[in-house]
Amino acid sequence: MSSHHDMERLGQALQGNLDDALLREVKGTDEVPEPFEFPPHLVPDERDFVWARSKFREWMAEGQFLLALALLKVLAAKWGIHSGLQALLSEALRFDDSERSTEPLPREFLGTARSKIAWSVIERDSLQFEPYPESGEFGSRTWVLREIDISDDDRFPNGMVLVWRSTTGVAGTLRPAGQRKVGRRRLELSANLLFYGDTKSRGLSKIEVEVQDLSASGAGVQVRDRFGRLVAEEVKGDRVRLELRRPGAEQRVSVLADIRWAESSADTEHGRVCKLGLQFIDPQPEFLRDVEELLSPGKGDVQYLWSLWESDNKA
Amino acid sequence: MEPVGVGQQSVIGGLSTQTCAIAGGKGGVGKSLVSVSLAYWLGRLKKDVVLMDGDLGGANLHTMLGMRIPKRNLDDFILKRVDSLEDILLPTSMSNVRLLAGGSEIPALANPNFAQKSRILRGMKRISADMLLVDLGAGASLNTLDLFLACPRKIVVMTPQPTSIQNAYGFIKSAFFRNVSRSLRQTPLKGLFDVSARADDPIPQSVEEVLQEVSVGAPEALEDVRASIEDLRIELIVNMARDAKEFRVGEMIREVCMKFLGLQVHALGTVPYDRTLENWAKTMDKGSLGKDSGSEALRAVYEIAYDIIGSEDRQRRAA
Ligand SMILES: Nc1ncnc2c1ncn2[C@@H]1O[C@H](COP(=O)(O)OP(=O)(O)OP(=O)(O)O)[C@@H](O)[C@H]1O
Ligand SMILES: [Mg+2]
Repeated sequence: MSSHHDMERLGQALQGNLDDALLREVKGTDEVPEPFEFPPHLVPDERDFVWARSKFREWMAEGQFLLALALLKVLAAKWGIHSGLQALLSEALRFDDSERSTEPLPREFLGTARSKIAWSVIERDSLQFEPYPESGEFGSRTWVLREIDISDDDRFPNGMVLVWRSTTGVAGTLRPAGQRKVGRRRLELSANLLFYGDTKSRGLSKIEVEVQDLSASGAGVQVRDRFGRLVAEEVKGDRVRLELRRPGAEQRVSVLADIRWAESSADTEHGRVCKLGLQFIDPQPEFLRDVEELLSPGKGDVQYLWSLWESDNKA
Repeated sequence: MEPVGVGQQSVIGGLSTQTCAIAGGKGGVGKSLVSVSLAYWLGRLKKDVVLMDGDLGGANLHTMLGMRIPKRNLDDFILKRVDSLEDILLPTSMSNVRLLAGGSEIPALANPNFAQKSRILRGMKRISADMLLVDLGAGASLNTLDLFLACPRKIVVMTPQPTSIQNAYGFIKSAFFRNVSRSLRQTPLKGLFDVSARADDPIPQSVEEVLQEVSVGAPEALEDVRASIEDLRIELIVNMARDAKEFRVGEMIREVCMKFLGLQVHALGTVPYDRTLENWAKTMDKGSLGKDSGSEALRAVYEIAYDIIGSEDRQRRAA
């Protein structure tokens, strides 16, 4: 039997078709089957790797992230540390299109964006087939990679699901479709919000805000409104200008934005805290450049240091 | 007087609490001057002090002490011409202060191998003194970081200049990660936090991120890492401060270290910019120093020395 045939069979098995797999016979429906024995003949051969890579990319593109990772995992177990597989893992960790699927992104599932750590998770966590739906609990420790819609009666062997037993207590849950949480970063940066129109005519033209998270398309800002000038219900929908200066930058940059949502907390002794969600309108290149600087990884602490330094120099 | 390395409870990495590293990411911030003046006061306060030139690549502490070519130096110990570091200690013009001069013969010593490093550490452990001050070289090479981390007392010297602020924080951060890294030696994450900012594996941004990554990649080491972070204690001296505002830069470093690294950095003191001190550094005759009680900087260092002795004595009593 050619090794290539094994690869095809592995692909089938990972998708739940165990007919052709080397599975021990299961006597009754109550009995938990033995872990699936993956084909023993897999050796890292150029042709096999090319097959695996295209399968992997196909599944990633379809949004079947966990299936793609399972393939990596099985091959990693067979081939050991393999530079080609590691490159695929890095590719998966950089994959950012969460719109594509309700499955967690690889880096969310593995709990890390670092390839070395991800590789150690891949090597450590166990993968096996179990009958559905006993294993079908979505939780932080067990992931069902694929549910098979099949009646209870004949769920063996085709009613099996591939289960990833994760020792990573951090893996998330399936996200509601369309929810996005990437490309944003938490930060603390003071900025100004300039109002126009009705709000301005009510006497509020400029207020200092703290930018708490930021992306190229919008920002979440917080206002400590000591004098109760800002009324959440009234500013919702307003068009404003956000003006900020990146620590270390010479110039301020600004962008037009619409206030998409606004909510204010109960009044406290320090006044009211109001949070606003801004959506940018046609941000200019110099603004985007500064946003990119602010979002670039590995600099959050240094940026914070400089903002302390600057505010001290201002004082 | 008792051997620095024996009979102590709080032996971390083999060196006793009386061993104190003086480091700083940037060159010329006054590490050597602070070390020398600390040694001076500790000696005056009746402590038996050994001042060690820990700049393995560019030893020059001896010149600050008026010695052109030291008669004996670290080379003698590394090349096994002597068995003990004690044998190469040199008297200085300061009372109760002996110098352990750095070597110059072995260029490769800037980057000592494992055996050489352990020999140096073992030698340091056996030095008999009340206080061993190690003046480290500039930069944050792994060897400098390891020597820094091996010393129970860790002082970082900085000045209020922006480059020094950035360097001091950078040094502390490197020490922090090196320290984490050492608790991961036996795990699959070995070496991970040593590589700086590879595109693929960026260095984590915060202590939470470190713990998160460790809990994912090597959960078995999580407790060790947590403990090593909690045990890491770094002290800060702001040198050459010119006004009240500049005194506050230590506070900034402290805040950033707490916020991002979960690391307690303690302000040990501030040494003002002082021409007398600068001149003293050039005189090569450190014996004359005490007469100049008008030096503000020296008074500040005296306070620091006094603090150090106080806390050492408290620790000794507790032990
Ligand atoms: N508080 C101070 N006031 C005035 N001058 C100072 C002060 N501290 C240090 N200096 C001067 O700064 C210069 C650099 O000091 P020093 O050689 O101690 O720095 P260093 O950090 O040890 O440098 P290197 O990295 O080269 O070893 C010296 O000329 C010294 O006299
Ligand atoms: Mg020096």
